[in-house]
Amino acid sequence: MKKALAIAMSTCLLATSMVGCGGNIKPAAADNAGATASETASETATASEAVDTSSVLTDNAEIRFCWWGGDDRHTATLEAIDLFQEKYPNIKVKAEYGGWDGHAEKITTQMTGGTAADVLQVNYDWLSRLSKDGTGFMNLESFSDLIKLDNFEEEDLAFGRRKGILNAIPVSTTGRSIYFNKTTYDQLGVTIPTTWEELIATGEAFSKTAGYYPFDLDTGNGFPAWYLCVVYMQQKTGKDFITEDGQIGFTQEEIQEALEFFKTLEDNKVIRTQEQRANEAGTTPLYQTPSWLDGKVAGVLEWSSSIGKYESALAEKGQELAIGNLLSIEGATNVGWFKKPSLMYAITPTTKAPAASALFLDFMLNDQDAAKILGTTRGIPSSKSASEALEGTDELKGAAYEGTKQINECGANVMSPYFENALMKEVYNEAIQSLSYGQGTTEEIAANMYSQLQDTLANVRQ
Amino acid sequence: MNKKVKFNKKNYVGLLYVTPWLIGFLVFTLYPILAALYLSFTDYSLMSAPNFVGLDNFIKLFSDKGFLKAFGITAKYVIWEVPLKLIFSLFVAFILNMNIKGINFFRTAYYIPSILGSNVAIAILWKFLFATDGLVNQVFGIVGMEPISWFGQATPALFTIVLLRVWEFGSTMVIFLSALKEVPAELYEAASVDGSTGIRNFFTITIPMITPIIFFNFIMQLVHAFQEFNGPYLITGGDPMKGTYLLPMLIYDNTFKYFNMGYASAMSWVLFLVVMIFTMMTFKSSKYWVYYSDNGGEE
Repeated sequence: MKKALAIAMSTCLLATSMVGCGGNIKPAAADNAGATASETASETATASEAVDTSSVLTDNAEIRFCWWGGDDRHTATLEAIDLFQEKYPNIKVKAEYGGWDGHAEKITTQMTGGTAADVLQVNYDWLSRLSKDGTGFMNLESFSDLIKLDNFEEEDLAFGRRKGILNAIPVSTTGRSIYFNKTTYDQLGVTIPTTWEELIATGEAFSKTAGYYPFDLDTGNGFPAWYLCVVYMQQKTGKDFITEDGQIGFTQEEIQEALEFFKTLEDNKVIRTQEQRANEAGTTPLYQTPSWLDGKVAGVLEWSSSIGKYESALAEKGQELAIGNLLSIEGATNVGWFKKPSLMYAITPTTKAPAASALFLDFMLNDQDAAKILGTTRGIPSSKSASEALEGTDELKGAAYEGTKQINECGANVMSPYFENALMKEVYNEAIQSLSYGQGTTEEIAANMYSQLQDTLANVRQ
Repeated sequence: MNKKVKFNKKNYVGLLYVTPWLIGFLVFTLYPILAALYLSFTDYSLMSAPNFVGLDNFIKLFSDKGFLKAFGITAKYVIWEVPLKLIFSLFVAFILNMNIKGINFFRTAYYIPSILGSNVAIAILWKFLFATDGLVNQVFGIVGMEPISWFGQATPALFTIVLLRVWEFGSTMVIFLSALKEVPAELYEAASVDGSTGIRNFFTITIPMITPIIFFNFIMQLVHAFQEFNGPYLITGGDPMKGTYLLPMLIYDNTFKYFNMGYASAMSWVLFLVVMIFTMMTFKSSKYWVYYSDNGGEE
């Protein structure tokens, strides 16, 4: 009898401790809510043509604004919210903010459950999954009297369209550029490379000093290793890696060549092997590792919107970060480099105060006083009126500004939303790691990668 | 004897006391488990309503290389972690059971790692300990050993994750300690009269007497080990070459990164069943090796 009881108790215990796995399933609670949310979405989207905005300045409303970011962004945003509430005392804005880790998961769960905030800061690749048919967020063009869209280039707005419906507006755009630790380059007497050949040659120059590398590429969440390969191959072939209709633009042979380019960088000691990288500090981001802080790894491929932390980390150690040229193959018909929105604002379809949300969204994007408070905490603003407000201030300088300008001026390719898809990233990183760890020939890895890319894209396009 | 339980006022009061737990259990444990069971037969993707797909998810699982690999690595992790942790915590408990001056201080000190848990700060500590020129490799250098590529190679990387959990031996150790204290002293006295000491006492008296606790700790550790998530998530991110990509990480990624909620639910259930089967097997085997002084309550 005691034993039977013991078994029963242990089963309960087992079940309770399995909650770790069961916990993942929690959003299931929102099954029906999810369905209702999307129904409401389509209703609102069609009805939104006639959103009544006349009483927005008088009606009391409470909205929630949710974003992720670092401390500088939090402080500035809270201050901007205060200003908004001062200007529009009838609208109360509740702030919901935190760091990036786990944020996407949280928002997805909230969107499914219909409990997401009214105004959301969204990431580029979220649109394709949170709003497959363009009805996942409100149509921002239906608020044309509240949101001044003429502050934006149509090219930038295009990032926020799903099936032609304006779901989100980019706050700023960004792209990856190459940045170098000028101090290290100067110390070793190596000139900062301006061509691909020179970049490859820096490997040899650096290898004379043990433990020093001119550049760095990782296979983390941001897949810079494959990113650079794609830039190079797009220039070389003139083709897009992912075409406009979401197909692979490269042939298998071209994929192989891209991988060979990576191998060349590794073999020439331009970058560390993936094993050496991982070994240094596991998943720690480069700018927090001793190699970067001590200037031993002296180059990085980074988003203009994220380069600030690399710059300040070096500045603290008395070192200088300099932006490099966008390396290019002579006579290339494809620029190769990419541009994407660094983040966007959207209004959720479940909002009870669409007009107030739209008013707030416009304030955050276009209001010049707000722009001065927000500065470049979300990148260099795409909005003309906001960037005008920043002109002549201290905000428009430094690596982040230079990077954004460089990408904007080079006529960069518009990045396909599929390029950064989580499943696609898996394929890129697996291929690069297999190559770096010598798990096969470039030909085998390319063949495998090519078929996986096709399967994954077909899956993602659905 | 009247088997029918009559509900009187006292029973209701009792029920009232357990209600908070009961509600928590129903809402946060039982419901998600059952919902996952339902979802495992659907193609639910979080963003659209679930469609029933029958056994498709389960069939797909057994030909999914990623799943099979993660499963294999999880098994490897469990095989390393559970015995290592049990042996280590029993060893520490054994030492802390001795009559040493200031023993209470040591007992507290050895429990500290468990309080710290596997959080972000510990993950950072771990990354620095096992870095290329981290403390561990430096110590290796002093004793003339080659440095190990801890995070760069799959097997050592998995081992660092195992070590993290083994290091948190506190709670198993405390349970062992209480069991050791329960072993009747007269058994040792009798043994010493017969000329038995030291190691022999440990294997012929101590171990058999504490088998119920070994059994309990084994089950608890087994269940936890199969669900390990924090260590690999925070320290290695599943790398290198997916060598530390344990099943719970795969389930998490499938749910929140790839939005294959239905598929992830199927994985959760397979994991649940595997843990269940191992637990049942351990229970079944227990009558051959677990000693209950009251005969297991059986007459």
